[in-house]
Amino acid sequence: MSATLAVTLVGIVVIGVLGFVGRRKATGDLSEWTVGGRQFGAVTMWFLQAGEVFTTFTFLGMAGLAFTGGVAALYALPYIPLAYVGLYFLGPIIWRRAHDRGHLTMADFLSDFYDSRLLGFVAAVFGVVFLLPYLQLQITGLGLAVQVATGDQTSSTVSIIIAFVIVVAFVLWSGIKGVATTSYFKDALMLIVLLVLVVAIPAHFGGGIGPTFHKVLAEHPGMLTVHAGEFDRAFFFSSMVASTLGVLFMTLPHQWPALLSAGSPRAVRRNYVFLPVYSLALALPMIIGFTALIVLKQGTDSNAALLTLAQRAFPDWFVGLVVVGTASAAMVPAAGLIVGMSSLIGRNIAGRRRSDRHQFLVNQGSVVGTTGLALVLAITRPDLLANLLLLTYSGLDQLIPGIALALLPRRVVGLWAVLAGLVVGEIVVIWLTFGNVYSGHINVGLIALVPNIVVVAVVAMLVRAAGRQPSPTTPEDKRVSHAR
Amino acid sequence: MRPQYVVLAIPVVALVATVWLPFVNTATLWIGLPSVMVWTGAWVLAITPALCLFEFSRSQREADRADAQRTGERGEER
Repeated sequence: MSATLAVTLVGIVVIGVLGFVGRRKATGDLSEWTVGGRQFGAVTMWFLQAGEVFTTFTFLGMAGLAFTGGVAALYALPYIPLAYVGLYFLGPIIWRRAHDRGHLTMADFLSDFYDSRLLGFVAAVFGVVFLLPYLQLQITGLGLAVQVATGDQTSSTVSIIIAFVIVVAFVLWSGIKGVATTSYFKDALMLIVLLVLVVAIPAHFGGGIGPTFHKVLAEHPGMLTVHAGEFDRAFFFSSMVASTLGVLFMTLPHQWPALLSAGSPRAVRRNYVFLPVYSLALALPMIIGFTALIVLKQGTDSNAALLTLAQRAFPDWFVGLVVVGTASAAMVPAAGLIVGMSSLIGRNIAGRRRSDRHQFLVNQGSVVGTTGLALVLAITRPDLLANLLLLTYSGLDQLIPGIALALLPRRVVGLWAVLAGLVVGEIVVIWLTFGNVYSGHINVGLIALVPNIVVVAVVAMLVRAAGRQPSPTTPEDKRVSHAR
Repeated sequence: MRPQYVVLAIPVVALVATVWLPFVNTATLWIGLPSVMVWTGAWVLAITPALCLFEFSRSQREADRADAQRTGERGEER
């Protein structure tokens, strides 16, 4: 066994141990498991949500995108902080309502506001279907890292099986608390590894960060501007806006447990004040991607750029640490994804109308089921869900009108308008993505939002014209009746 | 409009406008880094002090007090 693989396996086990440490005794309470009893302070929240920012896509994909698209990759730097600006104001509203009404998931929030289990069910199904390929992406990202570092496919397969069996085990035991404790380790390790890489790799290959960028300016000046081509201004602007809106309106189901686990609105706000600083770390792998521009041949696998340079510049044991960093960037966000998906299945899909105990059991079963499915597909049919991944962000963006309208104090648009808009939005996304009808660079999710919103408005007007106005029930009214 | 909103709007507008600003979206280096990277990085950093203006203003402290009071009342009801 090589030093790289040995360090990798030890690191994976350490992550698992930290995940188990998150909870001292088992719980049968879904609320405790999913949102940690809503007791997390600003610091734990910070690590939990910071943990969601850095995934394998960020670690390997950002370097790869900088390698192929130059500064166009920087669209990913501002969109999360921009969303945090809005979430500073919207987050406490969501938290208060979820706290008062006992919501655990995005679908709980929607079904309660629109008084419709059907909408909750549909939103939950979209959430799980669109997040499954994202979970698989974390698994294949870890597999790629081990394969590039060790050059061995068997080691890669064994590593991802061990890693994700451990993830399932600690998620079953600890739930969101396990995600939180592993996040501390992950963020510390990733920052240390990235800081070493960002200093050493440009120094090793280009004489330092400054000289490296001067070489890029001399040899690839086009990579320093957002210019015509695949990664043009339309790509940059629309990707940034679509991603910002998606995060701002909490369309990603795994955002909800992290937010709802906060102990107070103050913890929510403080978290969003200081998270933008951490987002700057996204620029670090991009600097390594620019270094790859002057070292690697065009056509090199872009996702392997960071690890290929690390392998050429560092001894095996340190490459092992880089792989552990990648593993943590896969395992910890994957744990958060699993919590988000399983709670949707337990609460809003399979466990509807059932007892709390039954919902918890369905939830635990779906932790094993969804991860097992993603793992088997990642190993046996790695391309099967690849196309579905194209729909993840664009598809989930279609939940924006429904969630945005549910943030209003009163229901001004009814169920059928929101549901019709959502269905039309999803159809347009699928049509534009797979129908060979669109070759532009504007984000498909953003385009589909237009007919989605138009349909919501038209159906709402038709319903009003028919004299069937939505009941203006408010969460406040419901709280009062609930208390009675 | 409260001055805090204006201060918060500045980094938001600057970030959204990044690719449309010719002096930013150009093949040049600022302090040894691509201009787009320095511009976006600086304005992302500016968001935290801008949000601090809200967080540490009197109105948020009042909101916290109201939340604490509300939670306390509900606790007494139980």
